Amino acid sequence: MKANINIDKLLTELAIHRSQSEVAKLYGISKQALNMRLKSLGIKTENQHKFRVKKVGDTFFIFRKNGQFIGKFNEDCIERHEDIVP
Amino acid sequence: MHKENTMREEIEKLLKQKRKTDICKEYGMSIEEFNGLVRRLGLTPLTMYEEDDLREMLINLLGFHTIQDVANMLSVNPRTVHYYMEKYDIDIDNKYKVKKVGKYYFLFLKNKLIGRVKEDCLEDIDESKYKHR
Repeated sequence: MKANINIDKLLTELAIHRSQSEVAKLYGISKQALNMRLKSLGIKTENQHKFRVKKVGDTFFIFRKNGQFIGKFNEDCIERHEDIVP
Repeated sequence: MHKENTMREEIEKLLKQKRKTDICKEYGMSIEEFNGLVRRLGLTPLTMYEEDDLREMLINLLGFHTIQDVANMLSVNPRTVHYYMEKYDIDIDNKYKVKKVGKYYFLFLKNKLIGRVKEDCLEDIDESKYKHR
């Protein structure tokens, strides 16, 4: 993986692709190399099954699966997909 | 008619100042009698809220609880909650999912990426008001 990676692009790829292996393949590197790079960048991933989302009106509420409330945000706060990676 | 208007205004004023149970205690009425009176006058216990406050309160309560629970908490019929949800265009959707990558929560709907929100943008909530009552 090149040193001047586009972090936004990498984050989005990690979000979209189910496994880090797929992202490693995209970058043409091993999963271990990707993991090391992510560790050095301080990027951790928590998958969908860890969270519960409830949208009420224009507000999203995010909970952990054990019911612990994480926070809420208004839909205006969402950076839309098409704006994240040009 | 005039008497009824005065009574409506008086009860509206009381509902803005006090809890329903306290009003009943003070006037020696049962909750059922009070609810009947409130209904007859065309008021609901939710009349006491300003529109914006009521919308925000409903959204926050519905974020944590079911419609039935919210109705119980507000001492109204679930139909009343539905009425206000429709009035304020509040719908509930549990189909969204999130995945956290780095400092971002990525939001998905039917496996399609909608966008992301930075963890700093998430607001906490006054627990005493909405979580446990």
